[in-house]
Parts: sequence; structure tokens; C-alpha cells
Amino acid sequence: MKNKIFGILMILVSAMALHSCLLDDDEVFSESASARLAAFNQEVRETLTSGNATWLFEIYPEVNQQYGGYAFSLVFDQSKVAVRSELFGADKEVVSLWKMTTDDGPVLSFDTYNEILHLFSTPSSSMYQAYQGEFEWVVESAEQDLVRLRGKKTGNILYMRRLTESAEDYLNKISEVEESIIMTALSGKINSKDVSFLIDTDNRQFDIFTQTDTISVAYTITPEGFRFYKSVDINGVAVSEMSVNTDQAGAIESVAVKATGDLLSAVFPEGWRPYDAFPGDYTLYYYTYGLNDKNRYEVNTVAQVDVQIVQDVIGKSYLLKGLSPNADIVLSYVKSKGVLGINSQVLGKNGDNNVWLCAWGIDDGGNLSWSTDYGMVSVWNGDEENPEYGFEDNGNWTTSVDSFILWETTATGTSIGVFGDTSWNFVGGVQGSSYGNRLPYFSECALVKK
Amino acid sequence: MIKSVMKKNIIIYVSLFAAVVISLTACSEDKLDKDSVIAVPNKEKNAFDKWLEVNYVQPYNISFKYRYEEIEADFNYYTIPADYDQAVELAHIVKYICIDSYNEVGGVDFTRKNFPKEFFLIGEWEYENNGTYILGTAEGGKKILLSGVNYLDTYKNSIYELTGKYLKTIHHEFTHILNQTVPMPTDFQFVSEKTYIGSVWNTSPYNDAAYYLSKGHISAYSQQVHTEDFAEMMSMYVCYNEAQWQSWMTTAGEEGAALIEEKLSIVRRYMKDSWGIDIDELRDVIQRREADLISGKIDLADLSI
Repeated sequence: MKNKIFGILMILVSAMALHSCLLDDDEVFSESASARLAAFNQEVRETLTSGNATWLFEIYPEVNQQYGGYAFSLVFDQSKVAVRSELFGADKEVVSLWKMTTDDGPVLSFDTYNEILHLFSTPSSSMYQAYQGEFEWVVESAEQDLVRLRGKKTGNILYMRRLTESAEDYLNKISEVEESIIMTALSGKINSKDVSFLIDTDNRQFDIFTQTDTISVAYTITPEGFRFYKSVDINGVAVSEMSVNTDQAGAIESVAVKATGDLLSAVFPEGWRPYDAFPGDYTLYYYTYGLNDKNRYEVNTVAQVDVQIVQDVIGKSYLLKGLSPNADIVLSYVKSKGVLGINSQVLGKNGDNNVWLCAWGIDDGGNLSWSTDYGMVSVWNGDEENPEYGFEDNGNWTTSVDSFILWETTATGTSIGVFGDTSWNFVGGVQGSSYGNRLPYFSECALVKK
Repeated sequence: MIKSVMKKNIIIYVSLFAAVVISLTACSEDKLDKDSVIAVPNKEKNAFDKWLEVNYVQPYNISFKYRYEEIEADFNYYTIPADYDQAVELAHIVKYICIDSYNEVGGVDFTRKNFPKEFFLIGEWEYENNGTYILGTAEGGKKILLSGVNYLDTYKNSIYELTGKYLKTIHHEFTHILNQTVPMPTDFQFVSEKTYIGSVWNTSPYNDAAYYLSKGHISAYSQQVHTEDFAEMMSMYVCYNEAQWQSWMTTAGEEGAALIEEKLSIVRRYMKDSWGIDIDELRDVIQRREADLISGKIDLADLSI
């Protein structure tokens, strides 16, 4: 027994004594960790500053990206960075300092205040956590045209992409795409299976419904369309980008899934009409004046006139022909609402003076104005087959507009008075009287498509 | 027999011990790397850095950190960096109103030895979740956090705002530092002994000026504890002018004013006896310098060295 113990001990001792003395502790890396970190930071600096590049930085604040993503552009020099964003308009640039630091690995820090870049991080009394944004990111990789970053606080994975165009051009294109989003949803098929997208434009989120799943993902706007925060699986297809197709007025009518080419159709809000729905022949019924039994003019007659709506500036406006004998009335196309707008406008000249079609609020005190923002917008009856339109105040003026009147001003805009030339009497209305130069209670009219 | 077994065991243990010692001996000697593993980034100094070097670091060994460093920030709050231009202005203001005032009254050695060694600037206030916010804080008698720097342009033309939002904090924290070196007179804590209320000082009725003044406290925060009271007495006295002080004394009434004056005389004695500083002279100097600032006598953006 004793010998056994002794034997075991001897083996142990021998094992220890035979402990290797080979110098096989070669370093995996030839340099220390801090030296490698410093070298990497230097690489990142060179990448960011090389070629005076403009970098597109799509920033998603908050850990669940609940506010969506927004485009920022950055131009770095050795110590300063010039920043723009779609949120401030392409023309505004703010310069501040930046650095590469090492407090959490290789960290890109924007360490003096920049009104644009620190927008999501700037707290206030009402938002003490701001948008839970950040201004320091760990650089995970830096390639010539693509830098991958991880939010120090949120862990959100973001990318900087080298732009091949100016920041202004890029940001302006994005604004255009944003303005083209009228739709509330998209529907169609991806990978031959039904899918629908609900869009939340305020927070830049898609809720995607397939037959089996509901997927939510935040997006940013690109000049082509949409880029998701991350690639999502929709009916077995990885989808991360979509490009948009717009109609002639610039409203998105369909969206193509980049990965598959599948086309999804836009679903528009109730009451919204596309630009090409309006041109055509119409009958306009409107109130005009007639003589009452005391031989005074009052609004007591319904006029009827054949008019035409024709394209003017494609996607922007139309001309209303047939109502004014001497001029076409310009109707605007209000894309965001899908309606016609009829605002105060100069219809013609009387010598050097201007003849205005003025917005007029008879029931709201009788004020009139030649401000071109004031006027009315159309209201559709909702009937695709037999469309009919009324009009209502466009809400731009404190006076509620319900009528129009011809008014004369000097070329410099000094009021002269009601325009009484009866050769300007509206077609179908009372003739031979200055009352014929008025469209009282146009809000009650009916524009019926033939 | 027992002895011989024991002997054998001892031999075994000794040889085992020897073997362990041998096996734990290093096989070779690693040479020390002559390069430190701590890499100090080679930062290019801008005009402001150079100005700070000459006006803060060299004369006083004060680090004026105007660029954001997460490690310096309070993780309990969402904070953002200070604006460069306004940080430049604030550096001038702190120097002209605080550092130079103490130099003038207490001598440059006093400032060098005692003035806080680090300032850290952030752009916004530190907002609480109830809509209130923190103006500035101090840590360990060394570092002063100045928040809300990005509002400096809004407040810099009003001495009242400038003092309330930024400068008073510095004088307040500086008083703490002095107290840590030379303790305040023990009789101070007994003057208002019964009216220190702890953390509820910012709730009603304690946060009402008429209330705390009548109880003999110069500010709501004074009511927390006697150490804060001391720092508040000192900073409020030197930061605000005589008219303002008298208006507070009127609100305080006879009883309240008597308590405040009693505490003030202890502060006055302490500053004179322990530090050789006449607080009335200090107040005059600060007032004069504040007037200079408001009249535009100081170019706050000048970074020439």
C-alpha cells in the first residue's frame, strides 16, 4: 500500500519534472492589442478622409429603431466633419469635430456639438432621453466604400456608404421620393405568395403581413426607394431594398422588390385621386345671381355650363376651360391629398392692371384676398364610374373661402375694386351685370364628369 | 518503525516540494518590451487646445475638457457634447470671472493649489424624468461638470442667468474643496441645526423662497445639510450684488436675516483666517469683472496666445 502511494507520487513528481521547457509560446499577433487598435483606428481615419469622400450615414436611433432611419451625409477632414441631413434640408451644413478613440474598441466619436448630427441625442424637459440616439459608434469594419458601425448604446448596426454624387443631390432625391409616398399600404405577391405592407411614414416603419407571419422593420428612404434596417425574410425571400415607380404626378403607384422583381401595388388613402383621374369633359352647375321680385340681384339661380379640364404642367396642374370667357382658370393638383385646388390667381389684364380671381368668404364676413395660397379644394363623391366633385375651403386662410370674385388691382398689387367689365361675365351665369363676375357659394357647385 | 515511516514521508514531501519548485521555475526570461502597451493617440492641437494649454494647463494644471468623453459623463443621463464656439466662450468666462478673481484676491499660488483641476463640459442640461434638470455637479473636490454649455449664447448677456446657470456652481464646488483641506468652523453647523431637512429641500413648502429665507437659509438647497449650507452661503454671497442680498434679507425678515448674518460672519472669518481671503473684497472683484463681461470688454472668442 505504502509502495503504491509512493509509486503514484513518483509518477506525479516525474510528470511535473518533465514539464516542457520548449519555447512554444509564440504570440498569435506580432503586435500588442493596443498597437493593433491604434493601427486599425488609423486605417479608419484614412478610409473616412480619403479622396474627400462624401459618406452617406443612415442613422436609426433607439434600440428597436422605432423612429425609423434617416439619411445624413458626412465629409471628414483630419479633425472636422461637415454634416447634412434630409431632416434639415440639403442646403444646411454644420461643421463640428470628430475623433477616433479607443474607449470601447475602435470608436468613432462626434465629440463637439453638431446641431444636425446630435438631433436624436439632444434631450429636453419633455424628452429626457431624446430619441435615444447616439453619437459614438464602434467601427466593426472599414472598407473602401462601406463602413460598418455598431451603436455604443443601442447596438444598432449601421452603415456608412461612399456616395458617388454630391450630398445635396442625394438628399434632394430622397426628399422627392419622400414626397411621392402617398400610399398607406402596398399589396401584391412575393415569391408567388400574398403579402401586404402597411406603411407608417411618420416613424418610417413597415408592418409586413404574409399568410403566416407579421414582420416589422424600419426603413430609410433612398433615391431609388426604400432600404430596410436589416434584411427580412418574406415568403422565403430575403428582402432589404425596394425601388419605387411613380405616376406622372410623382406619386408612388407601385414598388418593386429588388431581390425578386415582384411588383407590389400602392393602396391610396380614401378620397385620394391620381393626377390622370381629373382631365375630361364636365358639366359645371354653380350658383349665380338673378333679379328678385324687388328687382334686386340675389343668389337665386343655378347656372349650367360645359367645361373641360385639360393637362397643364404634367403632374402639377390643369386648365379649366369654358367657365371664364377670356381666360383659362388654373387648377392645381394637390398630390398629397389627391384633389384639385382652385386658388386666387391673375386671370388677365385690364390695361396695366391685373384682373384677379379672388378667394372670397361671403358667409365669413365678406373678406376677399388675392393671396395665391387661399382658395378651395375639390371633394370627390367617391364614385369611380360617375365622378362628381364639390369644393371646400382649403384651410390656408383664417377666413373660410366659399366664393370667388373678379377684382382689379394695379400691377404692384394696390386694390382698385370689384372688376365690373361685363365682357368678363362667367359663362352660363348672369350676363350684362358686374354680378356676372362673381361665383357666389362656389362651395355648393357640382362638377360632374361626362 | 513509526519513525522510519515518518522519515520516508518527509523525504517524499521534500522531493515533491523540490519538484514543484523546479516545475514552477520559468524556463526562460521574457524581455520587457520597450514600447508601452498604452498607446497615446497623437492628436493635432487646434487653436483652442493651444489657448487652453497656455491659459489653463501651464499656469494652473487645469484640464478644461470641452470634447466629449463618455467616461467623464454621468451614465444616468442622456448627455451630448458641448458646442465648440460656446465652449471657447465659457473657458474665457470661467477664467475671467472665477480664476482671475481668486488670483486677484488670494494670489496666484492660492488658485494653483486649490482651484479644481478638471472641468468637463456637456452641451445640454442633465434632465431628470420629471422635467427638472441638473445644472452642474462636482466630484471629489477635483472635477466640475458644467452642463448646458450650448445655452451660453442665450444667457451670456445676463449676469443673473450666467451666475445662476454656470458660475455659482463653480464657486459652490470650490468652497467644498476648501472645506476638504481646512474644515469649516464647528460652530457653523449649530446655527441652523434644527432646519436641515435632507433631500426634500426641493419640495413644497421648502422650495419657497419666503419659507427658506425666513428660516435663515439663503437658498432652498442650503436646507439640505450644513456642508451644503456653507457652500451656498459663500457662493451666493460672492456671486450676487449687495442690492440682491439686501432684497433677500428683507424677505428673510428679522429672525431669518439674523441667522443668515450669523452664518455669513462664520464664513467670512473662515475665509479670512484659513485662506487669507476677504469675501467682501472677493465679491467686489467678481462684481467688477462681471460688469466688464456684460459691457463687452472681454473678447470671448479671442484665441490669440
